[in-house]
Amino acid sequence: MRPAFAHDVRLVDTTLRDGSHAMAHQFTEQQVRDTVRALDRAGVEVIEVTHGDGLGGSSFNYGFSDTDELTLIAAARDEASQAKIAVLLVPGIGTVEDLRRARDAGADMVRVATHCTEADVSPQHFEAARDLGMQTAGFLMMAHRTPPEDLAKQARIMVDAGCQCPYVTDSAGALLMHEARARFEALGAGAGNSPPSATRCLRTTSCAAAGRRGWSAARRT
Amino acid sequence: MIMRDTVFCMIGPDADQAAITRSVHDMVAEVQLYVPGYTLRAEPQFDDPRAAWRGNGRVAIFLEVKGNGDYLPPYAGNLDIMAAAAARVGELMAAQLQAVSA
Repeated sequence: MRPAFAHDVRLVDTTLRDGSHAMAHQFTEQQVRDTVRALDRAGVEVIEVTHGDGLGGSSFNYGFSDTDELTLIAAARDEASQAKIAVLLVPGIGTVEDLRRARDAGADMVRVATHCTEADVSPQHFEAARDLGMQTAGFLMMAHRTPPEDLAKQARIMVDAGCQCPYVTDSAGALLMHEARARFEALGAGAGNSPPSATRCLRTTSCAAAGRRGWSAARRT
Repeated sequence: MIMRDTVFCMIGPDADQAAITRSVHDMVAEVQLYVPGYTLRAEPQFDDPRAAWRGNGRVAIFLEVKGNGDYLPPYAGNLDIMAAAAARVGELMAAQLQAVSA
């Protein structure tokens, strides 16, 4: 039985995606099944499973996956009884076709990531995801590279395209807490409270541990 | 700095490296017909097959694309090559249209 949520936080566990880097993208189906089962039982709401660089990342440039990510996504979907399965898509590495295949394999949600000033490469991916009936989150990477007001404008581009949960990531671990807070608040003011129900969150790489470097928490508005 | 690209291709363990090298040079010569600044920075380099590549090998091709400098600076080869390719397609289409109507 999944524990009840005591507060308004949604957890997305990216061990089976961001953690793939530390594994040189050699996760086996059994490792994915075991990890998904444990996370699902622990009450994690969303479990992300993809090549470390997102859909389509298996290549000379980013390192080949030992097991096809679609096989791992299907295994995760099969194993999770309550959790949603998410995939990462970085436009330019992954394509809309990759997204369709991931959906067919059982992915419920997609997180689309762009550089913090390049949200304009993401709309077609959000539109495709909504057409496929998937939940969507979008995040602006390297958030220290642009001011809070601009981040809010970039997030708005994602929201207008169908992103249900825009947020920013401090990919370089460069932000101090007051800088992170300013970005968090700008995003809430500029992009939040838009239909259907925008949420936002912030990830600080500096808080994370190797192997489980990526974590995300979104606050429902 | 002029635009550069590295292209990796997976090749079989028994691929004919001399034939691949010849083919790369032939294609560069063909592209140079409409993008004069399209050149190899080095000879194609071959990596031996690896287990992580499922027993396949790799060829790496190192390109440089210098623009014509007509409207954009020469370093903008990435933009120039698109305009040059579009112009080339236009010329080929025009030639075909003229051949049909003649």
